[in-house]
Parts: sequence; C-alpha cells; structure tokens
Amino acid sequence: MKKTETFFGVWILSMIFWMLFTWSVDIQEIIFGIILTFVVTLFTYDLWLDTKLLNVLNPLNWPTLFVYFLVLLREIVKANVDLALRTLNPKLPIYPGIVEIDADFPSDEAYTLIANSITLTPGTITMEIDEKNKKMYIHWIHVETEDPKEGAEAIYGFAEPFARRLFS
Amino acid sequence: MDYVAYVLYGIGIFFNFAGVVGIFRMPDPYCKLQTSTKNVTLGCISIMCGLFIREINLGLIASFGVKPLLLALFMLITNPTASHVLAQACYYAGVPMWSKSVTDHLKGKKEAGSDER
Repeated sequence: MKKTETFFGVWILSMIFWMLFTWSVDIQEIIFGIILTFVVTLFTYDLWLDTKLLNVLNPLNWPTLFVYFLVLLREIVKANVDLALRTLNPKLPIYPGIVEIDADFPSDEAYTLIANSITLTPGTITMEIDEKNKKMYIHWIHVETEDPKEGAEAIYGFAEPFARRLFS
Repeated sequence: MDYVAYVLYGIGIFFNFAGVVGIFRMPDPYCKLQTSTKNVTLGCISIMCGLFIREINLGLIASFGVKPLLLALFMLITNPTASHVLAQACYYAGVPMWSKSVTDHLKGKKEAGSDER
C-alpha cells in the first residue's frame, strides 16, 4: 500500500515538472512524458519510500508552504541587505564564530528544511548536525549570543513551526 | 512592466557584485562562503524574476516564461546544500578559521570524533 502510494506520488510529481518544463498540452508531448516519467519513477521511487517529502503533494499543506515561501523570501532579502552592507563597509564589521544551538525535530526532512533555511538567512551556515544529541553547529558571521537556546530562537525561529507542521 | 524588470535586473546585479566583492574581501573560506551563497542566491533569483516579468509582458509565457522560475526554485534548494557541504568539508579538512574569530564550539567535537572520520 505504501509502495503504491509512493509510486504514484513520485510519478505525479515528475509529471508536473515535465509539463512545467515543456509547457505544452500537445498530445505527443503528454504521451511521451507519461512514458518517460513512468520509467524514471520505476527506477527511483524506492529512494522516496522512507521519506516524508511527498507531504508537499497533500493539498492541506499548500497554504503552509505558501506562507513559508513568503516568510523565507522576507528573511532572504533581510539577510542579503545586511550582508551586502557588511561586505561593502570599509571597516568590514564581522565577528565570525561557530556556535552550538539546540535543535529538536521529529524527522530528517524537518532537519533538512531547517538547515537549508538557516543557510539562506542572515549570516549563518549550517556546518554540522548532531541528531543524537539534538544539536546543530552554525557558522555565524556576527555572533550575538553563545547560549544554545537564544541562538536557536535568533537563527531559525521563523522556520520552526513550518518544519514541524510539514514534516511531523 | 518593462521597468519593473529592469529594476529587478539592477537589484540582482548589485547583489551579485556584492557577492564578488565579498569573495575578495573576506578573510577565511567560511566567510567567503557566506557572502557567495547568500548574495548570489538573491541576485540570481531577482534576475530570474525580472526575466519572468519581462517575458509575461512580451506575451511569451507560453514557451519561455516559467523556466526562469523553475531555475530559481532549484537554486533555492541546491545552493544552501552545496555551501553546507563545502563548509563542513573545509572544517574537517583542517582549514583554519580567521584569527579574530570569536568562538568555535565545534572544536571539541571534531577532536573527539577524529577517529571516526
């Protein structure tokens, strides 16, 4: 049952991308796309079996995804303005360091989402994730706090509820 | 509409420029990664959005308009992953951090786990 669901989920997802790329409703394109995505799915669907990535296909999650993209965009713009000003400032005001923060999430996909969000936002890059001790190690270009809790709030506070809701 | 696209191009070029300047000015590989990842991501995304808006305006959405948006999406997914892997590899290969760095909480873990890797 799980297998069939995953198979059709992956098939539909690749078909959506095929149609977006070709952007045509010509019958030839669609038939060829169905065949091609079927073959691709046949070879790759087992990679998706134990993941929750197909949650994004559930229409109930689409509003969350949409809001998440808006919030992420705002954070990215903030990050970029901040970092560009730092870069172009003649004094180069940076205080880099690697800090440890708390990160307690239910699944690998949530960790991935959080790590990518962290890397895209102000002056932070995820260096290492320690799932056993529930810690993340972040390279921060302007260290504000070394406390794990405060750091967590400052670094990924905006993305946390979305990760929990999407991939719980 | 064309002017919106031009403004977006301008923003993109500014951020890409800032990213390049950052690559030259930052003192160690980690900080270089910071500027190159973030500024270049937003720069490319806004150039792509400008392209999208311009294509809509020219009435070309049927053939060309959606591809820049898809490229922007893939860039959003792959860019942070790549920079994370580069930073991690740099750290475990022993690239030193800048001498004025504030803290390094990962140090103890690296020394403890050095036999595993």
